[in-house]
Amino acid sequence: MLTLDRKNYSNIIKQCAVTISLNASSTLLSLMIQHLGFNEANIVVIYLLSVLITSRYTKGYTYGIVASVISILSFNFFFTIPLYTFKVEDKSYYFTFIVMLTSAVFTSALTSKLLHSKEMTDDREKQAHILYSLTSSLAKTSEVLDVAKVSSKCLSNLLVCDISCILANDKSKSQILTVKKGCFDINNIEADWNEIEIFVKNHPSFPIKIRGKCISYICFPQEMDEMIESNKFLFDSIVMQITIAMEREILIEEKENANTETQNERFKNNLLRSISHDLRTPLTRITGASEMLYHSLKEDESLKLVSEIYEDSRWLTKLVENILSLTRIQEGRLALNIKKEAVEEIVAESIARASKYYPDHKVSINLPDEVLFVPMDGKLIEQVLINLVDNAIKHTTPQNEIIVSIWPEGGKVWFEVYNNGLSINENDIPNLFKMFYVGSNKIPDSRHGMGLGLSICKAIINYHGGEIYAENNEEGGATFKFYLKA
Amino acid sequence: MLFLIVEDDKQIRNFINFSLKSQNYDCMEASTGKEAMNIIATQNISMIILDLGLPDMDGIDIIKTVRGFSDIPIIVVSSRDQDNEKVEALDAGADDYLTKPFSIKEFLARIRVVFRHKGNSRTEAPKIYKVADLEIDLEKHIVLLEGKEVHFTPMEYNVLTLLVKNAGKVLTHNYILKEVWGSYIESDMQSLRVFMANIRRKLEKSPAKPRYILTEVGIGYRFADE
Repeated sequence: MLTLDRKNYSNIIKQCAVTISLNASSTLLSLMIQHLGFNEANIVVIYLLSVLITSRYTKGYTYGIVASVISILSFNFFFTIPLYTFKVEDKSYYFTFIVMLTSAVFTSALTSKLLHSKEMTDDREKQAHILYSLTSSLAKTSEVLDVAKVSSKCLSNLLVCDISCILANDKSKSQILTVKKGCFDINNIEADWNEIEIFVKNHPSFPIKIRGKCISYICFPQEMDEMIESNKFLFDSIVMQITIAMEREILIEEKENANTETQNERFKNNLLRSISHDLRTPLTRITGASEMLYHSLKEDESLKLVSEIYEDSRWLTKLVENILSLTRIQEGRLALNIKKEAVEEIVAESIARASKYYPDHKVSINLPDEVLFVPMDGKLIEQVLINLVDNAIKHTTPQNEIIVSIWPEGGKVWFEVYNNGLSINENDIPNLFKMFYVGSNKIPDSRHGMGLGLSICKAIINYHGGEIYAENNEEGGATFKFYLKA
Repeated sequence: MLFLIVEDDKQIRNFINFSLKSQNYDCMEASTGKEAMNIIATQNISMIILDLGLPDMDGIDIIKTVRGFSDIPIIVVSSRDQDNEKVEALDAGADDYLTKPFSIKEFLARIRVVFRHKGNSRTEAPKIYKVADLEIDLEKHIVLLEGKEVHFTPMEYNVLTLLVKNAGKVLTHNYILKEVWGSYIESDMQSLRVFMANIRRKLEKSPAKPRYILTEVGIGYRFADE
C-alpha cells in the first residue's frame, strides 16, 4: 500500500506542476502580447487555451477546474486595472470573469470526459484482445490438461503476471501448473484438497465448475487483486471461456469412453450369444437322452451317474437360456411385450415352476385380496421370480421358510422373496447383481452359477423402470425385493 | 398308433423316437416340412410331434394345411424364445406345446392328455365333470366345491365350462375370448383376466397356489385335470 501512496503522490505533484507551469507560461505569453498592444480578448483566449491543454494532460476534473480558477485570478492580477491587485475597477470585468470561468470549466470538463471515454475504449479493446487470443488458442486444445496449460500461458502473457492453475484429477491427486515469466512448471502432487483450498483462499482465484463440481482453480498473484476487482467482467469472461473449453474436452472424453465401452460390451454379448446358441441344441439332446436312460436303466450304479448327467445338463440349459436373455436385454434388442398382467397369475406360475423339482421346500405366499394389475412383460417378470425363488431354495433346507409377499405402495407394487436360511456375506451385497460375480459364501457341493441369475433379474427390473434390492435378515437368511411401477 | 416326428435335429428325433417306442408307440420321422407333408398325406398318422423351426417350411403353415383336411392331434415343440409362435401355433389348431428342453415324463403326460381329450370329443361329452373336490353338472349348470354349491355369473360359468370341457389343454387368450365373447379386442384381455381372478377366488383355496386353473404366462390358461 505504501508503494501505491508514493506513486499517487508523485502523480499529483507531476500534474500540479503541469497545471502551474502552463498557467505561468500563458501569463508570460499574455504579458508579451499586451506589450505588443493586442487587446484583452486575445489574453482571455490564451488563458482558455491553457485550461484546455491542462485538462488534456491531467487526469480528472480537478486540475481543469483549478486551472480555470487560477487563470481568472492571474488575469485579474496581471491585466485588469488596478494592476497587480485582485481588485477590479471596471465592474464589467465581473461579467468577463464569469463567462471566462464558465467556458474554462466547460472546456476542462468536456476534455476530461473525452479523455475518460478514450481510456475506456482502449481498455475494452484490450479486454476484447485478451478474450480473443484466449478463445482462439483454446480452440486448438485437445484435453483438459492442455486447456489448463494453454490458458495459463495465455493469461500469463496477456496480463504479464504469474499464474497457477490447479487441476483436480481425482480425489487424491492434483496437478499444479505454474507459469512464471512465461516458463512452464508442471507438478503432479498428491495434495490434500484442504491444503489446496487454503492456497486458493490466500490468492485471488477463480474456481472452474463443471456440472456443479469444481475441477480446477486459476490462481493469480496477490498484487493482481486490484486489477481483478476493477475488471470483474473481464475475468468472469475469461473463466467462462476456460470452463467452456474444459467442459467440451470432458464431454468428448466421456463420449469416447462410452463408445469404447459399448463396443466392448457388444463384442462380449455377441460372443456369449453365439456360444450359447451353439450350446442349446446339444444340450437339448443330452438332457433328453440322459432322461431317457434314467427312465430305462435299472442298475443302481449307472442310474446315479445318469441322473447326475441329467441334473447337470438341466442346470446348464438354464444357464444358457439366462445368458441368451441377458445379452438380448443388454443390447436393448429384447422387444418388451408390456401388458397389464394380473400379479397373482405371474406369481403362481413362477412359484409352481421354481419349486417343481424341490417338492420338499415349502413356499408360502402373501397376496393382497384385490386383483393387482401391473404393466409388465409377464414372461420376463416370471423369470425374475423364478430366479429369486430358485435362489432362495438353494440357500435353505426344507425346514426353513420361504415367503413370497406382494403389496402395493404409493404407485409401486413391491415383490419380496424372503428366506431364513443362509445369509449373504455382507461384502457380497453390493456386487450381488453384477454379471459373473461369484459370492464368497460358498455352499458346499452346489453349483453356484456365475451369478448370472441375479444380474439378469436386475437387468429385467431396470428395463421395466423398477429397482431391485437385497439385504440380510436379522434372524438369518436374506430378503430380495423389487418394485414395478403400477 | 403311428406317430410322426417332424424335427430337423437328428439326435432330438432319436430320443423322442426312443421315448415313444418305450411306450410301445410306432414312429415315423421327417426332417423337413416337405417330407412330413408326404407322410401325412399317405400314412394313417395318429399324432404329429412338430418342431416349429424347420429348414424348409414354417411349422405354422404345416399346422394350417393339416387342419384343412384332418384333426390329427399335433403337439408343437419349440425353443423358449418363440413364445409368439407358440400362441400362433395353438391358434392355428395345435393341441399342445412343449418348450425345449422338455422332460420326457411331461412329454408323455401331454400325449396322454391329448389322446384322452380326442377320445372324449368322439364319444358323447359327459354330463357331469369331476376332478378332485370339484364337481360340475353341465346340464343343470351347478358347480359344487367339496359338496357345497358355488355361484357363478353366467359369463364366469361360460369361461369355466369352456376350460373344463378342454381340461388338460392350453386355451389361448384369443381362443377363450372368441368362444365366450364372440370377438377379440385387445381391451377384452383385461376383462378376461378379471373374470379369471374372480373364478379363481371362488374355486381356489389360495389364488396364488391354484389347484384347478393354471396360468401359462403369455399364452393362456389350462384347466388341471389330474
